[in-house]
Amino acid sequence: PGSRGLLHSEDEVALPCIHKLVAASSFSKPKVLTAASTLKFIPEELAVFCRDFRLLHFYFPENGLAPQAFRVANAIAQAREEAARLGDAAGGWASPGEAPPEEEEEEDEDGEEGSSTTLLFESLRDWEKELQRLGAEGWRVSAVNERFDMAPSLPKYLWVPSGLLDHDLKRTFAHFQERRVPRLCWHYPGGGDLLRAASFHPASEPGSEDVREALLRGAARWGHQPGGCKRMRRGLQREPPPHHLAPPEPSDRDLNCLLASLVQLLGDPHARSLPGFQSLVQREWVAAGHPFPRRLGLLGRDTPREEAPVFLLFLDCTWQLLWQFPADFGFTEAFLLALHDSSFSPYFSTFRFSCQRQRGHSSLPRLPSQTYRPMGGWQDPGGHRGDPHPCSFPPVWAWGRRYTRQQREQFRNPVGPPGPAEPLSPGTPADPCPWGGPRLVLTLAKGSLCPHTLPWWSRPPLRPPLRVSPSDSQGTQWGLLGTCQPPPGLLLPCTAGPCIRLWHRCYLRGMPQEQRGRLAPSLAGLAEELQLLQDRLHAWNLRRPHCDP
Amino acid sequence: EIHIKEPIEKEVNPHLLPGELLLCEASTVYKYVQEDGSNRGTYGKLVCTNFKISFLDDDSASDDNEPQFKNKIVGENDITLQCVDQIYGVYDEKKKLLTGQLRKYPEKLIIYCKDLRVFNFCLRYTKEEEVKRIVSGIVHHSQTPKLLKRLFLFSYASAAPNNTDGRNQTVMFETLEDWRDELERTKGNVKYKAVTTNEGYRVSERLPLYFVVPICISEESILKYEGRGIPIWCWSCHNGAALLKMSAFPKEQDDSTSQMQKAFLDGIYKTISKPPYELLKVDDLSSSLPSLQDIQTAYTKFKQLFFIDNSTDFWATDVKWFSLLESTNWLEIIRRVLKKAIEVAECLEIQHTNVLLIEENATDLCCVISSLVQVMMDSYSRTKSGFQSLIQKEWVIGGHGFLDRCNHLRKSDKEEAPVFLLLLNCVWQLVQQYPPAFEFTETYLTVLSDSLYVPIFSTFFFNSQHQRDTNKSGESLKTQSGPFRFLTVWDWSVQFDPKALAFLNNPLYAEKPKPDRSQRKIARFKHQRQLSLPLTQAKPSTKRGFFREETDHLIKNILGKRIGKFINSSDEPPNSLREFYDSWHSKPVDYHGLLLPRIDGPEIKVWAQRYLRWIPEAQLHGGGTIATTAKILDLMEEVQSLQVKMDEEHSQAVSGDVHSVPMLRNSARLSSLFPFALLQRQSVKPALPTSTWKDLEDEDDLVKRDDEFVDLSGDML
Repeated sequence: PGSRGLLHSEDEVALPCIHKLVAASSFSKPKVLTAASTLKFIPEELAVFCRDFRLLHFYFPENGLAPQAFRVANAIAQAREEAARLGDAAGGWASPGEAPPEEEEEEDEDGEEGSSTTLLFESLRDWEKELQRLGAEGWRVSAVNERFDMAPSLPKYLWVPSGLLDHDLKRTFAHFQERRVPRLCWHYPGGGDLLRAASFHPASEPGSEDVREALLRGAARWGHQPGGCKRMRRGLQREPPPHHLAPPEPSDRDLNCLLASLVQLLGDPHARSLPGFQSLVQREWVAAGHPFPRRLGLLGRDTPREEAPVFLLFLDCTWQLLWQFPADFGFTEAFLLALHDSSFSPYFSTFRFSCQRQRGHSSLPRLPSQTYRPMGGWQDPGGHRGDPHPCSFPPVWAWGRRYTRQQREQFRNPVGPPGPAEPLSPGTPADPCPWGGPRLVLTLAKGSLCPHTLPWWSRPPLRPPLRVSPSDSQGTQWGLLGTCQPPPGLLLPCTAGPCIRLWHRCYLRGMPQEQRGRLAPSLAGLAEELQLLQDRLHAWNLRRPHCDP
Repeated sequence: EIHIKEPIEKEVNPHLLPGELLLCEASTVYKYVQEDGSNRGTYGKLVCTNFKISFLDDDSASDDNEPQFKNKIVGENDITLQCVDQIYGVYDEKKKLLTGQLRKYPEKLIIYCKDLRVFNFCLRYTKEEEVKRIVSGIVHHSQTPKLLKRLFLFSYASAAPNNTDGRNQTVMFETLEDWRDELERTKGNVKYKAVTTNEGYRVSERLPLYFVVPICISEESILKYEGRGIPIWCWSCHNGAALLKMSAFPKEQDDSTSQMQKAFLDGIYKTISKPPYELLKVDDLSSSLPSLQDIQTAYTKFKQLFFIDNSTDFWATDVKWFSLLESTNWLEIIRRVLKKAIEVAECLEIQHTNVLLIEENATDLCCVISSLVQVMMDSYSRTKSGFQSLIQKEWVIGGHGFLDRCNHLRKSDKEEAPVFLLLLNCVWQLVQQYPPAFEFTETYLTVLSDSLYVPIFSTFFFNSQHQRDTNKSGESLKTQSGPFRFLTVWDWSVQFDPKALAFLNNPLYAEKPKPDRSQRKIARFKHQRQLSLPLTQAKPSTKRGFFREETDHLIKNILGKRIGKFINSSDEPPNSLREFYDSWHSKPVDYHGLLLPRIDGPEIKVWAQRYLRWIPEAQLHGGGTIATTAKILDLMEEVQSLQVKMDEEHSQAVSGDVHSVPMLRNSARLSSLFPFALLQRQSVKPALPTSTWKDLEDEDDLVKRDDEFVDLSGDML
């Protein structure tokens, strides 16, 4: 209860969060209401199916005699449509000049810690900082797309091989769909790099001098990435250091986001901290140009065919990991649920736009006449200071505006690792392979990792490293992992059927028992009590120094 | 291409229990560690005794890795004869079920156990003579019909001096006193009495020596039809409503007989429906629950999901896991049983109605339902000793035919049905839904289910109290001086040492805060709160009450249905049940009061610890709830020790009685199925689907592909 952000009660629902509106009476079939198809009978019941799996059920007791019932039902249908249309208005019906809401939310010191340490990846500094943390040598930040003229859907800054000059880089864009060139996502401390890119443009001639030269000069080991699914995590989780792999899907805007971020969750403890996770979503989804509005179906004009819960799938996968490794995450289920809830609301800059370019545009006041302001209100953009084009909506990470301090406390897992943001230790490759030796590039295609990659790559006899073969694994070789322990910080989730659970608190959240314990302070409470006792004991000892503790 | 280690010629002797005899043995048997195709394993000796099949590792000296949780009677490589489910022989890569006489001897032996373990033995390096002897020995002793007296139970009882005092906290219900105490405890003694009519088993051999009936039932009526048609008391609710059971009359051909029986029954009903007795609700379980046959079929399919021969097998079936699970129907049966128990609880609690369960012998589903109802309604049944007393009362003394239902004697498959396992599965659902309400853990339930197949305890090896008593005398064995003194399974120290015993107790059990004296009062008070539910008003004002169904609908995207239909279902009778269920669930849980299981589809789960514990692929290393529990226990312990310290500081001389908790310290090394799961092997799903691999493996294919490649590394230089 009370965790619904902008809304004040369990009985409220934001208009865009309405999935379906159904009216029924005993004289007629139930009818799905839309703005176009209005009610022809007086309803006795009204059911509001929400995107967040709640169901609000209203019953008009006066059995069809209440004309208000008729009016209310139609009004909701209209308003919902209206809201969607408004939201649709080309990137935003921002609230320019709108006075900040009366209630000045107190910005307590630690309250926005999460959002202040979250990198939004809109500034050069963020990209540089993160690259440094990853310790990815041989890569640099390129500002070649700063004006979005190279690739409109890509972020301003890209991580590209150091040896690749912008001049040469520019020539490669045309070869990829939506001009989304291969670029670094993550550097595994053991040595491997994770890259992502769209597939080749149909008109591209990959063998042409242009591409080859550009790629080779940068000594880049490009791969490209196709879609994959959850089970692929296994394949990816232990990239043998000398190999580079990258997932291709034609557009590089959906499953690549999912995969790239899951791999990092498995391999990078920082990504499992709260700010780290937020930064991860910011980089691999928001900045990378995942078309949130279309995929989440937030805007009215979107065709249902474009709707696909890719991001929600990611949240579910994350929950599976969280469930399997509760102690390895700095955030809790409550946090994931809050994020899940927030994704149905178009009032956050995070989910409103399809790419950085669009976000930038939207910040210019476009509909000055529009004075709509969602209930509860929002404030001026939070999070990213010094951004030249602040967006009028707060990022979803500004939790302090929607959740009480107490609720936000429940987002943190007190037993989880703090998730140090310092550079990853280089780590020794477990399977040392001399630099410059044959380097395997693996591509993820149709759900499996294949050694086959770019057409100009020649290393035919290479066999994929991730291989379990009965004859090979006899003796000391124990399956894929060998006898060695997984490197510290790497999670190896179990993907067998019995280990994949239903995320009850998310999908069944309408059931009262699932609500319970959602923000349960069980572990947090114990930890706090512990702290309290320790403090008191300490204080006690100070007062009576002669006494042995 | 087997990695052959020189077999060490060394005499390894089996550890034999008193009364245990070595029947046959074979050496140089190769046991696969886990048939994952890797052919890893160890050489050793395979022996068969009158108690167990056992594999003796040749280099068993290297047991530096003593497990924390170890059974003293049945070791890691021991299979009691009663625990064998099926035996397969492998002939030229083909599996064949071995049952009786064998003409050809297999090169591999696969033994599936009832506790879900799977053993793979390779006999290729064993002398032919020995193969013949061991295979036919194992098949004969574990798969062919046996006489009751040939059960190891008797050899053990005559050889092992039983010097346990036998008296633990568990009420055995063997004496009149025990029944009277139970009547007293539940305040049932006003309207019900313990009778001695069956002394010398005059009434029936099916019935226990002592049992409880309504006060108004006469001795003659009890004697008239051997106890059939007589309501037998199970338990009284705090409000006086009682749970009763009755064995039905068999279908009678003769019209006049059935007329008489009908008249008799009418008389009985009339007597016990009058005040002071409450209204009576009769529930014929044979028509309102799945049949024993259905249950057996479902379980047979279900357990097959966990008999995994090897890793490849696992991953092959894993693809279809969810649909396979669904097709067994096992979870649905669990759900129906739980639902029935809720129904009964509602009648007792809300409607103040007596409930009479009817079944042919009142010893199968009656036991399941009555036990479940008591676990749900009586917090005493959720303590360890209370639960054990309950099993004694309803099952062991109550006359559940363990011998037949478990098919311990291999006499007839037709009688076999996992009725007791069904109860444990249902109780497990409750345990995992409300862990703090139970004094015992799921591990307790798991080892209890394992003990079903350990024939040194008499508990699960007789069909009735009568059968046990008549076989106890030892008169058939002339050498025997006195009657047998059997062990009871409730003496857990026989199987486990104190360190392992700690795993059976729930450290997070929310113990009753008040001393026993006031116990009843508190319970009453709490129950009264339950009674103040809105009973008549059709629906709660908000949407909550109907939410469940509609969530389903939403998920399934079925919107065509008339919503009015499921809104106005108030005229249907089960609505009061729904009401009861919903309003209970909308309140905070009282761990010492009524406990209702959640029975919505997603809430019914697979008892992972029991069923998946031997499957390495299904384990989360260092993860799952075990990790959380370990953290909680760490914190708790620290809090407790600090509290003790604080108290000491205040010099209030408090003896720090900190409960020791099982060593869960380093949860990173435990797996989700702890304490059973072995950490020997980390199995990882093949990263490349096997099928894809086959394609890649094709040499020609690779060669062709080469042509498309350009050497990159060369250019790089």
